[in-house]
Amino acid sequence: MRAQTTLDFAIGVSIFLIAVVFVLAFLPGMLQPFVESQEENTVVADRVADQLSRGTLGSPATPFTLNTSCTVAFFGGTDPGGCRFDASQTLKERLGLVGAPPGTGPNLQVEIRGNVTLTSPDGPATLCWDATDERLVENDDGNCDQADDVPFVAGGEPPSDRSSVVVSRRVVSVDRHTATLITRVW
Amino acid sequence: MNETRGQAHTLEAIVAGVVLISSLVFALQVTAVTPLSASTASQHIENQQQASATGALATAADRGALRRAVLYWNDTGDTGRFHDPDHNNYYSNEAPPNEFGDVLRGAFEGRGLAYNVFVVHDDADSDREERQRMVYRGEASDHAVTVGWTVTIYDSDLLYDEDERETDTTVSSTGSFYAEDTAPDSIVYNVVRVEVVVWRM
Repeated sequence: MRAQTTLDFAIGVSIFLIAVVFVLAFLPGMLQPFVESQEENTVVADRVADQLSRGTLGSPATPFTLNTSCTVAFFGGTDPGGCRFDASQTLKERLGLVGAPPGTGPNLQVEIRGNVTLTSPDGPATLCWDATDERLVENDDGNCDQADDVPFVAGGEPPSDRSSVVVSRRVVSVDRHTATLITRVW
Repeated sequence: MNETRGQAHTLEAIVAGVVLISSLVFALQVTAVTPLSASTASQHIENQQQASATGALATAADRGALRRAVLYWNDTGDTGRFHDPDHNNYYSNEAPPNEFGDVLRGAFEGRGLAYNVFVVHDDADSDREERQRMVYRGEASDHAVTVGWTVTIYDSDLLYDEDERETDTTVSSTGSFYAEDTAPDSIVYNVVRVEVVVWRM
């Protein structure tokens, strides 16, 4: 009985090639802990979220309870005075993220999301301050379209590649509603 | 052609494949997973959960909802229970139907987080700690975080009914409250700690 050399060779080469392709596909995942990790962004996101929720937007005596008028002023409304930040500075200057030399600091976005539609709860959305009725509404409600309505979002747009964005969350109370303060740093 | 030559091809290829795979396994053992590596057990995620739980307890305490949730006790019968529980005398499927439950739902629902709420109080006779379940969703994982908030109950505090209105029953006059009077000679009834345990499902 003649040995089936060609068939055996084909089987052997295919097994070997499958093993090689598998190893090559595994290599990027193996090197992931050694690529530039995002530890600096993680620390920045945590620090910004703590600073905003425990001091800047409220009072250190009552952490996680935000002052409504100071929060509106932080996101672009009129400054009532007496808030713990300088309303004339940019967002990065208030948070100390300008960087040295200026412009090299990380990018960030601060947002407050919540669910204030009591009639038909539809999941959390970005909150907005309705200046005409002086109350908190959601961004997609239709009540947030006036020029002096302040949506609670500030900073740049996060990149479409969400895997490089570090997110910090804090549960806060704004105008007697429970909301989430989200800080995105990339 | 030699009869055994074909099998040598296959055998050589298999051995080469085994050498490759074993070198990959060896290299994997060498790589390090740090606490901040992207995984569900990352330290960053635990920090966020801890801060969220602290924020939820702080907002509930600020509005007085935490004290009302501790006194949200139905004392009919020999052993009381929380109002409308869905499991024995505590809640397990949903958050409590009071304002504290609304805060918990707004903080943790829909994000793949599970939480337990315990009310920890001292026993009057033996000074041991007893844990009364308010919300119980199972045994917490190894990466759970716990946050506590202290609430003081006085002898003259009134229990609350299902709609969070005060009843006429004081805490010291009913015998079916889960905590006992640890200081009978003072106006303080008991000092309890509300503990929230949060973990990723």
